[in-house]
Amino acid sequence: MSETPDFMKMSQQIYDQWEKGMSAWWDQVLENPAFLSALGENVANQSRMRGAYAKAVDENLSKMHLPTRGDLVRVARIATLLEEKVLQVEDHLLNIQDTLSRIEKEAITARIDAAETRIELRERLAQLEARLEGLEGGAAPRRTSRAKKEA
Amino acid sequence: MNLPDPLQGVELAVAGVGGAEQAALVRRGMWLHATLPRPPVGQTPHIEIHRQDKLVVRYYAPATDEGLPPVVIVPSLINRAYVCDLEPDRSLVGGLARLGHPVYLVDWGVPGPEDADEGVGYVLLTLLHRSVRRVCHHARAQKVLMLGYCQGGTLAAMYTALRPERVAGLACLATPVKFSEGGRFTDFANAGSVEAIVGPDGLVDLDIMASAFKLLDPMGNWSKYIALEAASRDPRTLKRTLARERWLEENVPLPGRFAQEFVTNAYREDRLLDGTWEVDGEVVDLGNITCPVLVTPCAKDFIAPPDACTPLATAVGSDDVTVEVLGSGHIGCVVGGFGPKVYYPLLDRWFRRVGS
Repeated sequence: MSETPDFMKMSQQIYDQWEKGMSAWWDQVLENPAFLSALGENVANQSRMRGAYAKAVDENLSKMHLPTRGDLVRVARIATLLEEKVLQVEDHLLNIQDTLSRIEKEAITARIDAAETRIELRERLAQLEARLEGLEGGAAPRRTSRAKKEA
Repeated sequence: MNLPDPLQGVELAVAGVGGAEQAALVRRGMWLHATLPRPPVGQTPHIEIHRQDKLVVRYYAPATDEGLPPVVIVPSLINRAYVCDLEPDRSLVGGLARLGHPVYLVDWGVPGPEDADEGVGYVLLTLLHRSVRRVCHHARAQKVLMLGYCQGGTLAAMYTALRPERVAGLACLATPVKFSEGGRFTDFANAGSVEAIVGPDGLVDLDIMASAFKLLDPMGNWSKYIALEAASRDPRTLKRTLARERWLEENVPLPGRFAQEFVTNAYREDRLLDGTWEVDGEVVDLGNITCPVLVTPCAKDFIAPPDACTPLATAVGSDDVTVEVLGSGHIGCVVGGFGPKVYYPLLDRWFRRVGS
């Protein structure tokens, strides 16, 4: 008994073959200088046609004393330029803010450094006083500078 | 040179009718494509820290406060920035924030005719530079880690070359720098005059942008319906496919001056690697980039092929350059399963190393 042909599979194969062939055909077309040249000319013609149409619309609007596309574009450009000016001022303010933050950070760091130095000096002074007391040993008790201060 | 025989295409089309089952799938895929609503995107919680013109800088707070340096993501100008936050579980910004990085996304927005005169200099030295300064201020940091994607990577590399003091590390994903190797994009950019791509409103028309993207992969425009039909059997996959489709559909017009400068200097004259591209009087010298650099081309990328991306590794002046070729396509590494599994952890490791 012969096997039933798988029509779905055949269909897929036919389609794949067709797609492959079409793809190769398109490749030939798209790499062809004649096609590319015609494509460029077509784009240029379309552009000219659109330009003529836009000009005609603008002229009609102008005759009716209505704002044309050109008028709207000019207003939008002014808005863009004004925004640029505002952003330049904002840039300047942000730079000042950054500078102030840096100065503030440096000032805080300097204060912390100074406080740490003071603590260190006090500790060294205390150590020196302790050593002095140790050296004097059994001699008559003398008042340390701190004791004098407290007194 | 003559065009290929058009009848050959017709013959192939007739042969395609043989795949009747596939034709039914395509028809159903087209119906789904036309009728199903697109899911919401950009859902990861964030705040806006800066706005200028159409640009918005979005901040995604890290899940854990480890004091890591800020990561600024620079996407392309020619697509919507929400590609970096397409779905909650496959979001570049969300993924990096969950890994402990404070993330800032530069969303260029959608330009209008009033932005037609904005060139590459304005984009880099005004919009991006101010964004980086605002990020530094917000994050209380002196420098940022920069991640550029596609054309955004090119812009990030150019910015790092121009303002190296602001960047502690540069990661470039699918970033073309050698534009003569740019594949079909280069062919399209060289077809016709540069002036012709700019419409009467001073912008590169959306139709031109959409057509260019469709011609990059002509058969992809057909096979996507079959993929959509296949995805419709699982609600989660369907949502993913539709989110991606939304991103592909919502093209962004480019300011005319920017487009003309970019196409001329990059795709036509390939000036970036030569070091002859001038931006507002400043020469872009990639040799000025001395911070660590991560170059990640995608092996299956036909928009920014690896040959167009890898030369960045040798062009920069940094001693610390890593090149990792990713086994994905152009957007798969960001919106596909490859991102959370491979790419985000790779970025996490690299950012932690160079940011410490």
